[in-house]
This record gives sequence, structure tokens and C-alpha cells, in this order.
Amino acid sequence: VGREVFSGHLDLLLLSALAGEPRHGWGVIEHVRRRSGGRFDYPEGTIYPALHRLEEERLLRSRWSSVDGRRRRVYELTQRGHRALAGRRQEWHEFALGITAVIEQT
Amino acid sequence: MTTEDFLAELAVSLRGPRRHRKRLINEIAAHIDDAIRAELAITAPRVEAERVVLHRLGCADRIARHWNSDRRITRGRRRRRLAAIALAVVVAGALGVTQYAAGKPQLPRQDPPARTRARSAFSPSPTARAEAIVKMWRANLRSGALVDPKRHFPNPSRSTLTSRLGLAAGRFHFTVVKVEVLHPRQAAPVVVIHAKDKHALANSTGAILHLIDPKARTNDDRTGWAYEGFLFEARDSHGVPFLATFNWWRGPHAGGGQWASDPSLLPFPHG
Repeated sequence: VGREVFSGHLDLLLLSALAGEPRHGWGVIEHVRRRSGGRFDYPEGTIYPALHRLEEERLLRSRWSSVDGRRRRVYELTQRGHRALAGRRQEWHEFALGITAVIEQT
Repeated sequence: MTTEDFLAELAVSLRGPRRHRKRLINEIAAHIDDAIRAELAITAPRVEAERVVLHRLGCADRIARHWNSDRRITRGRRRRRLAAIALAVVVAGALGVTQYAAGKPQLPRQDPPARTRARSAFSPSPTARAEAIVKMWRANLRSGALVDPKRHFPNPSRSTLTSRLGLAAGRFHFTVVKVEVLHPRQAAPVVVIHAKDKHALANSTGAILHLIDPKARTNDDRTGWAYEGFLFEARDSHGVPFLATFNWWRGPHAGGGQWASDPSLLPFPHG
């Protein structure tokens, strides 16, 4: 999947990746890679500005955590983030249904 | 390109507060560390692992562009929010809700006497009024801290406040329900107390505040205060607020006010 398509849905992917459990940036990237079967081609570094932005929008909160003696910034969804995720999932499903209905009729 | 080169290139391209930039750099350094460890499991030489990881990370310039663009949006939002708060403060002042003037607390926007007014279904309860006052007071503290961050207050310690409160509680017969100290820049205490005799408490409020929210003698009612803000709320035996006084002293819209559930309980002269 191309970079433009990916970046258009980056926030939804990040929120979804953090819905199950708190993760640090590398953990989020690995989770997306595993779940997507490596379908996305994107510069991994761009997720960090996005994580910061989502935190400033109070959809995420973060803290430093020590993993095997190494400091990692761990992100988790806030209540507001959970609500935003539910709304965006719904939007995505409706969008996907609409697109599918159109492209499969031809 | 090495990791150090990459991080150095990224560092010089980033805009925004130093603390935020430093955090981003640390996170990306940790990412590289994790990714190289994972890559070494499948790619033997470290140099090759580092090359693959940096390639996947994308160029520093691209990351910086995303970051800087988000910073611009955030800065714009913050400015709009500040403008909205400032507007709210000005409107509150214009409505005469809470300004001190001419060395005397004028403040009061009070409820009309209960006898002359049927309480409508939309009248806010004393609890709702007290909550609205706290909200307004906090907004004024926030906007004051943003526009006038350098003003310094003596800022007595929490233990000093606690001992003064203990003294006042014994002398004026109330019990302390809650003490919270906010820090918009320096300390801004919120003190909630419980009193059985509302009128006795109202009559003593000036003396209580003199003890716990002291003011040095100056020729200006807006200067000489120990704290940058103070909120004092009294509740009755059912826990319902019946009196509140509050002030905030940073910024061009410094001021304060009083509120009581009944005009006869207002602690300061008004009108």
C-alpha cells in the first residue's frame, strides 16, 4: 500500500495499535507490521511526530518506562482516545463499504 | 550515514520547544536501538543492520517536516485558545462579576434574595455556582500565568499554610475539608472548610483570610499578596457551599470576588 494512502489513515492505525495495550513507538510499528502482514510501505520515523500530535490532542498519554534497563516512552489511549477510535472505526467501515460497493459493481 | 549523523541532522531541523525536541530525539534513538537489535538477529554485520534500520526510518528531513508542520498547527491552536480565555476574562470583567477596585473588594454579583425570587427550574444550585466559580477562577489563573509568568510572589510553603489554617480553624470554629495547592506558576491554594454556624463564619471570613491569605501593606489592593491566587470555600453541615471568596493576581485582568448563597452571608461590603 502506497505512502499517501497509509498516511491518510495513520491516526486510525496508531489508535488501533494502542487500543489493546500500552506500547512504545517501536512496539507500535512492529504491531502494525505484524497485523498488516507488512503491507504498508512508509518511513517509520514519521509515526513519532504523529504520536506526539495525538498526545497533544489528549487522545494519548505517555510516560517513560524502563524495559530491560533501557528507557522507552510508552503510549496508551486516554478515555478520549477510546471514544475517538470508536468514531473513526465507524467512519472507516462506512467508507470501506461505500468504496467496495462502487468498485465491485464494475 | 551513522545513527549519530542521522540524529544530529534531525536535531538541527526540528522546531519547537527544546524539551519536546529532546524527547523526540530520545525516542527515535531508542527506536534505532530496538530496531538494530531486532535486525541483528537476521543480518549479521552491525553496519548492515544500521543501514537497513536507518533506511526504514526515512530521511531526517522528512521526519522534521512532519514534526514542524504539527508544531505550527499546535501553536495556532494554543494562540486561539489563549485568545478565547482572554476574551472570557474580559467579558467576565465587563459583566462586573468579580473585579476589585479602589482598594476595596466590590465584587459581588449575588443572587437576588430568595424571598423576592421564585427559584426557577434553571437556577443553578449553590453547588453548581461554587463549581462554576472554581472553573472561572482556574481559567483566570491559567490565562494570568500565560501572560504574566515572571511576576514573583512570596509563596509561603504548604506547611505554613497548614499551620495557619490550623490556627484559624481553632479560633473561628471550622473544620478543614480540603486543601489543594495548584501551581499555575507558583502556589495558588484552594481551601474548602465546613462550618456549622454560617453567619458566624461569614462574619469571620475577613479575619480568616487575613491569616491564611495574607497581604503586605501596599497602597494598591492588587499588590502585596502572598499567593498568586487563593480560593476559599465554606460549606454547611450538609456539604453544600454557602460562601466563596477568590482572587488571582497575575496579568492585566487580576482581580477577585465573593459569592454567597444568601446576600446576608456575603463577607465583604458590596454594592
